[in-house]
Amino acid sequence: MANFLEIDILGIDYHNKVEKNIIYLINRKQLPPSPLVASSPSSLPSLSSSIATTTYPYLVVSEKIEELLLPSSSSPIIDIFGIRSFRDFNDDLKRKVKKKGGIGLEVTLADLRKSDGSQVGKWFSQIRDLYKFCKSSNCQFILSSGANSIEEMVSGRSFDAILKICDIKPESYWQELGKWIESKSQYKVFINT
Amino acid sequence: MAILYSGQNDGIGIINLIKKRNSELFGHVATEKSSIRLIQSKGTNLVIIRCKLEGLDNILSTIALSYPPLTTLDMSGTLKRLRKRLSRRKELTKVNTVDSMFRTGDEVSFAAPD
Repeated sequence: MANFLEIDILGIDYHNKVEKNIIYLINRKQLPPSPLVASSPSSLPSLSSSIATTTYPYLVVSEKIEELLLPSSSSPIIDIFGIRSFRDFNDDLKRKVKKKGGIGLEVTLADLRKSDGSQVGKWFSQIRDLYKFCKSSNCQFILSSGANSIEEMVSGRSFDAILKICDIKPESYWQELGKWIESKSQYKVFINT
Repeated sequence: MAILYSGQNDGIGIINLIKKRNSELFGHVATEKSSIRLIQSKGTNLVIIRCKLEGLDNILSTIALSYPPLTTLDMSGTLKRLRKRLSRRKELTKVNTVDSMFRTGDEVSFAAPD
């Protein structure tokens, strides 16, 4: 279906089944591999049972504000923060997000389908502001379908049309997003065979 | 463009849904200017519609923001090419209606763009 809609990479929930060209969205950060695992592949089978490693790229997604507010360390605990309500995304939260740096801020279209025209209009203006904020704070703006079924998936051209309405150039958006996903998921592909 | 949908709606219902939502988001004048028309609705969950090029972005975003959910499967400047593209890709989808919709000899020639 992703091919049909001309979408290169999908982000979906992980259900204990690994497939190609898919980045899994999970709630918990996986444990990093020990240096021994990285340097000695032959020792992998014996260690695999004790170390939680993955054979798939993943991003940690959360909609919980408290997880975002955890004390900052060198690497943020979550990769993507899902914004469900712009009312909750206040100045205090923006300051925290700014401090984390490099985090993805995700907005989905699924909830918007049931909103009326005025709410959608307001949403477009909020997206414009959010995109400007992401630009100024080194965060990645992510527009997602939030689909739970095939019919809820959104085609690439529809995404482009929505981005244009929000004064965002689709070409630069996809380029930035591609680079960001690559940088975030690259170091998380571990071997566990 | 070819649109995938679910639920009880038929082709006319889908067109009305798109027109109503488009009017809500972009206004009645823009909707009329877009000239949205139903071309073909034969399968159980796939319709082909047409619209003016000027209103394309509005229609695409309307489809993405519609409820019950709709998905744009493909689009093309001519219906002939759209048929070809859908046939070429039909193995990628399990939507069996694509098969039944695009049998050779289907009456679609009336649907050439303006």
